[in-house]
Amino acid sequence: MEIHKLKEYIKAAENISDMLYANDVSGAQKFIGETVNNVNNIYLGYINRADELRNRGIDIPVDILLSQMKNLMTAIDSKDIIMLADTMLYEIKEGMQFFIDVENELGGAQA
Amino acid sequence: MSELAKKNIECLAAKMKDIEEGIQNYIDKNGASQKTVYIDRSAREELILAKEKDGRIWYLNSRYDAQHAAKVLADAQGEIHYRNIFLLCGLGNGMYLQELLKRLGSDNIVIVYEPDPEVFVRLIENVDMTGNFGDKRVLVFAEEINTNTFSQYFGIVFRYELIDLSKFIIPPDYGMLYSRQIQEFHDSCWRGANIIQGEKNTLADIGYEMADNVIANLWNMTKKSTINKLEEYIKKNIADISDIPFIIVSAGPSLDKNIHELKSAKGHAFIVAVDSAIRKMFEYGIIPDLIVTIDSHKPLVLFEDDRVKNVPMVVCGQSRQEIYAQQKAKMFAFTEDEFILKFYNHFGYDIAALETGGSVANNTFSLAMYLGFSKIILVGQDLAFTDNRKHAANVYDEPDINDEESDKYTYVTDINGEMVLTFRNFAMYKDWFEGVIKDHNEITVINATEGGANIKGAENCTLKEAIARWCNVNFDASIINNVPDVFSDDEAQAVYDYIVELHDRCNDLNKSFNEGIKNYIKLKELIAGGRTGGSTFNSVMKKIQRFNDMTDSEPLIHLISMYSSKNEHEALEGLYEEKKSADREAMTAADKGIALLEGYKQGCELTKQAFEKLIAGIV
Repeated sequence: MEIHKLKEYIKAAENISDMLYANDVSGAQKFIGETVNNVNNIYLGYINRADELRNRGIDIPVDILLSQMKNLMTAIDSKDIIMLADTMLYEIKEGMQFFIDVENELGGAQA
Repeated sequence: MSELAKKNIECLAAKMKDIEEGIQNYIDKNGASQKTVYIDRSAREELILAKEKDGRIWYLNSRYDAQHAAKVLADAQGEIHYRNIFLLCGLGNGMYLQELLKRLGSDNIVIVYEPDPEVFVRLIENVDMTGNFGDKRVLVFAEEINTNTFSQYFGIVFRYELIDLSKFIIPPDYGMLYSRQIQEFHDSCWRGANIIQGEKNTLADIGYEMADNVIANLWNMTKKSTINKLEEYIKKNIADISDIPFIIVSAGPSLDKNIHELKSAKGHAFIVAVDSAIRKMFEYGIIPDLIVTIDSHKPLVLFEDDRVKNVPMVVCGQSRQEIYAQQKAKMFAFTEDEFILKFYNHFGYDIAALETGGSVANNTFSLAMYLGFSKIILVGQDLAFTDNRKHAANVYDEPDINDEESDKYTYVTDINGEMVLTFRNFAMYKDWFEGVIKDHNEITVINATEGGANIKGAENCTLKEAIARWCNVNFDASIINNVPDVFSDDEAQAVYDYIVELHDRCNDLNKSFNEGIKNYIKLKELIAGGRTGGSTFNSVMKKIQRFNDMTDSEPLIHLISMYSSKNEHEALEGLYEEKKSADREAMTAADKGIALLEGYKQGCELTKQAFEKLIAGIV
């Protein structure tokens, strides 16, 4: 995964959470769909590579990542704006930061 | 109740009557109910609130960093105009209000509306809100606690020029959890704004006529009673009015259908006619127990029947002077304006106001509540064009529904669920009824109009059925003829002297207005010359401030303002437009101040002339 892409998703998570905390739901909706799709794909990509990465000395906390994905989907399904903003800013952003660390550890050459 | 809760309430009770009682009543009523609001801690150990609804827990603040989320919401309000009024629909853990206040100036106002009374109670029990609640810029309304007093404050906080500067803020998840309550709160603000707009239009159209009546009626008013005295008398002399229905008879087209039924209610209810319905009632030989008339513009043809003179009447200063002059029966005054209130206060008396949505039937409804009646029956209250007619037959000589008036029409839902045409202002009166019924659980309302608009909160049934159900006790309404007047005969000289004093004061006021204009001109010169910081500038500003303070406390200003209301509204139009620079704003304010005072000078002259006429009549 390219690090600059992960950084873009961090920015997107911050922007979406700002809009949601400001209760600008219609503004946030323009970005949520695409961002959530991308986040899901990235998360699933790392979860699927968990065994491979463990063999390379990198531990992927699958349970935590799955829990974050679940929180994201619960927030969307129940239209819970605060939960969605919190999940974006404090879980998904943290997840993306973790993936950046992983990529750096893997060599960072792709960045 | 915890000590913290008491401290929080104290801060609010100092500026908002009834809130303490509202909270106590809510706790007494719901203290034992199952809790749905919980206290939790965020990741930063901030106290946060959560609501259980539809089988899941909803946090009302961020679970990670509540302060950050509150800051984002406050920052999202963008550039804040110094006169913005914010309507914050949700307190959460209090941080939304706290962060908003940090960004506001001293002239901004925040009206907080908390749609969940349980959230409000949990908050005041657990969070020190004294700093925010004690802030003079903050008013707080909580559902089921004190929202029934909201309309009173709305009229004080909002002025016509400020309506466009109001902004709603709904914190996240509040819209999801409390959409119905917030929509209703929004609707009540809309109603309030419509009333202010209506009052502004009325004042601009007939303000001079209203002021003329107030002055002309002044002497006669002091020979009459007030609704305050009527209320005292009823309280003292009627053991239990809870079983006595208060019937409000209006002149909607459906009155033709069931007016004959009213005869059987006579002696078993307090039958109160709004002025438009009098002729129709007399036509059927029904004498109302009381008539209410307010409009300074009401056609005198409504009062031509000699029998009117012998029916007790509720009036205000603005009611037609011809009616005051002809009336033989008891009259009970209330006040529609500050001048009359201050006039009575000058002699140590009080005179109550009656809330309204713009129609005399609204005032009459407020009268029923003020007098303590809890069962109200509405008759002839169509508030819509039933069978393409605006009023009952023989009430007014008025044009039929026509295309030329179509911009004044709108649709409302009728009692059968169909859409029906009505005047926009009729729809506003209907909204007012609905808001008051919603806010006052202590009253029960039957809409026995048998046609017209559906009034939410009122039960629809026939008048015959309503009378059969509610009019079962004997009630002799003639006892109200025994209500004492307010002023004693001994006070007549003092009243006369005060009227002369008010007349004489017009000359002094005129001089003050000229002085005020000079100060504004001087202010403009200083701004134009860039001399806005020196002692001369400060001295002029102080003079303007002193002048403004004087006008704020001067009773005659209210009359003068009525006479010059058209000028006043034009002068104030755009006063609070977005400010480009402090100088430009001060220049605009000075221009508008001059225009306002020029209008006041004319109003002052008319006030003086009206007092002269009154005094000549007394002598």
